[in-house]
Amino acid sequence: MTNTTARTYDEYENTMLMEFLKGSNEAFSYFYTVFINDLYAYGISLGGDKDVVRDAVQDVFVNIHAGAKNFSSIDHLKFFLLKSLKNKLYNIYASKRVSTAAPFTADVLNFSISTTVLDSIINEEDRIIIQQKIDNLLTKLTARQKEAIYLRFIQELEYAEIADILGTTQHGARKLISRSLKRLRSEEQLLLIYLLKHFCS
Amino acid sequence: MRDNQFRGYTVIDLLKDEDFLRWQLLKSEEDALFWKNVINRHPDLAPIIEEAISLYKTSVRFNKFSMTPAEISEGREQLQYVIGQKKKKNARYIMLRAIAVAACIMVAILPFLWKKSEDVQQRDITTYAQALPEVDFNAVDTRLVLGEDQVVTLHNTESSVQYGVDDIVADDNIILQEKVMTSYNQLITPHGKRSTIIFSDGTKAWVNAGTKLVYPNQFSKENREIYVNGEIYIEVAEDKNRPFIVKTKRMDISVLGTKFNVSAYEVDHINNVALLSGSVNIASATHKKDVVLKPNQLYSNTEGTPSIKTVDASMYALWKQGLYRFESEALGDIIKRLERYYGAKIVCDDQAAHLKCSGKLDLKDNLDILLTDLTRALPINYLKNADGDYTIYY
Repeated sequence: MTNTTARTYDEYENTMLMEFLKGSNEAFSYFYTVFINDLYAYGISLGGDKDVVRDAVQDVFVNIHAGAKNFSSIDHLKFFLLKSLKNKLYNIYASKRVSTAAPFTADVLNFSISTTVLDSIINEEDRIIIQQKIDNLLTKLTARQKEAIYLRFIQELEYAEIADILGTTQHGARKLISRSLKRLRSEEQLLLIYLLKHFCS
Repeated sequence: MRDNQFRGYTVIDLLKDEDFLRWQLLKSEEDALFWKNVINRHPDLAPIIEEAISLYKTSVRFNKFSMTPAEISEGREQLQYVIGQKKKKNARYIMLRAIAVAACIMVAILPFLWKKSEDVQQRDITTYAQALPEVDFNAVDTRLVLGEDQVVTLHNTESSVQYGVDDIVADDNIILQEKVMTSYNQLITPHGKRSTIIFSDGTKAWVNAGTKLVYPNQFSKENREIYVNGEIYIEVAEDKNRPFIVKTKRMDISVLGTKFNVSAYEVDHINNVALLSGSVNIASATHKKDVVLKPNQLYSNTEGTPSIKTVDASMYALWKQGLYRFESEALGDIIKRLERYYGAKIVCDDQAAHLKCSGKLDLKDNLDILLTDLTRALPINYLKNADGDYTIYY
């Protein structure tokens, strides 16, 4: 698995983080704007209802404002926000489920991924096919695998952070992603890769 | 080889290719190697692959859910409002606290203004603890009080509380701590219950029935102070730079790292400290000179009069294993302990109360069995009243 290089933030963003840590309301507002849609999208992906997610996101920000702010980096802040939101949603839906007669074994939160191909230079017919192809690949994955992939490649979290959110070890998080890879491959391809690895290196 | 099929592929063809999409999706090294190989065989595909990657990046989005700009600015305004309200509330709260603290200081200082006191210097935790309202030790549940108003109720007979780096685990509850402000917490263990507490420095205390423990949510850099009204057995984690001080109404016990038992029920005539290992320094409110205790020494403070004797100190910590050993103790005192331990009311007539007894009781037995055993060893009888109270008579 290649390591996506950690995003670097520019000087302005880092100054804002310092201000945020000192308790500046302006910086707080700034990070609200920066991360609101990441959080909202994650909440919806977890299966949350629009209004519930919106309220939960507000709560997460209120808590972070009141709590101790010892974030080592902007990435750390983002991770903490995502994790807090998931915990919040989990609690909301776990308590709701008691009243509804949902099957006991069902997970409280189920991650799903939906694909959008933007209207750029690709014509509509092709866009639909590309989207279907990607969706076909994704349906082969479990909800946890999808979530791991989303957190790793879309939200660009570190494996340690993904492990924390998914309640597993770092090794477990890596495994979730390497297993996904295997699921998306046919037998024939696996053999081919094996041959390539051994005869081309 | 399969990669021949890519000959003549356009950018759009690649974007519809499962292998290409998987590579973009999971960015695995294996796939990267596969495509490097394709390029090696068909160098003319290189620019097309490159363009397909960049088109994928600009066009494909996952879980593209977003709030409208109007919703976002509405959310931001609402948040600023909520925070503003909280600040106002905090300001009011701080003001009230300041007044309360000032009042406490006045109350604490007044006696010192009147008489030149030789008392142990009253530190804030003692002042704070003694200013707290009396607690009801006959309550059903153990209570963990965080700061001014947050109460966590613990239902177990033997509860455990552990302070972590930024959370508290109390039986099944996990409480996240906001370490912005230092405040005092209380662990109130009623009669009939026991608890253990592990502080953030690793010090562990076993808390006997009918005990109130007051301590800061985080220890300061200079020392570790707790206040006890009741009985604890404590194993202090060593920290040469931060002495651990167990404060009580009549004495302060300071240590660097040891094991000892403190029985300091404010309602009892006798308070004592039994040292199992290490060394402790005891400053009492009534005596100027501090006492340094050696292992297996018992310091007793009877209504302000101190005494030291050599004992088997481990005997004094047996209660945490549910055993109670005593040597020539008055039955009245033994009964008092049993009352606390079991959370029961036992009335003992004068003649019986003065009997001196030695022996061992298994506190895991129920109270009826235990009292029956006592009637066999002593010239006493007991009655269980209709309301569940007990009467012992000679």
